[in-house]
Amino acid sequence: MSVLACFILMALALAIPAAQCAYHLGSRPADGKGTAIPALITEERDGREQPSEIVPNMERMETILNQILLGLLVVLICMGGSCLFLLTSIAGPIHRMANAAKAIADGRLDATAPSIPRNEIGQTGASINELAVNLQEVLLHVWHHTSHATTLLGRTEPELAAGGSPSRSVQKNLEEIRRNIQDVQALVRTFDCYDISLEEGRIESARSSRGEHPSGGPDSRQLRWDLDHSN
Amino acid sequence: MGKRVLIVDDSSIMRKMIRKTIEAENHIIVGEARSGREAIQLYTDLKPDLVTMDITMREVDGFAAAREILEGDPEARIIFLSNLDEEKYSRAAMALGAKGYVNKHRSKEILPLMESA
Repeated sequence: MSVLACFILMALALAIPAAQCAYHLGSRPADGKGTAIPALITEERDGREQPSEIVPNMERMETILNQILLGLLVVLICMGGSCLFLLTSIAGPIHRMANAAKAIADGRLDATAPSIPRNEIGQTGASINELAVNLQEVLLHVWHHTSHATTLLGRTEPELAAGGSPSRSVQKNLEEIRRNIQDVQALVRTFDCYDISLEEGRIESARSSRGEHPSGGPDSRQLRWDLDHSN
Repeated sequence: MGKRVLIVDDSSIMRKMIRKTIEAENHIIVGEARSGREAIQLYTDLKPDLVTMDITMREVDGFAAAREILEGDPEARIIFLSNLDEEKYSRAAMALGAKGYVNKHRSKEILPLMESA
């Protein structure tokens, strides 16, 4: 249910009992003899409505007070229900989403924002999760290509040396390229990726690195057999 | 005639990249799944000619999804497209019954595999 629809329902839940209260206060009693409020100040004498002596209509007052109290009770119950609904459907998920967004902003890309309830709040949570997934994807691309560049450097330097000593500036440039790559990779390492372990020059499944396997499915034992026997 | 392809990857930017690569060769993307669970459902609904499957996904990962798809349809053609570049994952994928394993960072290598699958 959308957030707007929730607020509209809550407003109705408060407005309807309040309207009923107002209706009862202004309504004509069953005996048809004037309204509740005028009955306090008029009475029937000689067949006509006359301004009353100061004789309070105790029964009518009691009825009105009871109706007001009942109306107030209903309003209070509705307010309590609305607060509970606000807490569970809106405030709670927003709080969890704020925590997850903070964790992701701090580099913990394995954190998850709530994507339930299925309203604008859930959609925001799902978008935050997608942002984390996409960021992880970019970082893994960076890791892969910088690792590959490091490998190429490793091959290039001996080839250069084999052809005669490379000039000092070439050596210096190669060294600087290597340092730049290491700096970029150090930055990538500051992120905690979901189910990924960044090893020297390669990307592994974190579960595989821990001796578990990439698949959490029901036949995980079969997959372990597959991995072991394929080696 | 282009193949009907289902793309499975939790990253929307990867799905976009794979779509561009595949559509450039006149294949048709019939659906995109964000998780293994969605992939299983969409495979049943769409019956694509080919599935490109990521491995590292939350909820149901690529290996589990591929296993379930192949159990339901042993003729299913699945090509894994993953960040994981250890050869053991490639061997595990082929042992599962996949038609190929490509590293995401060299995603164009999927195109010749699609022709032969």
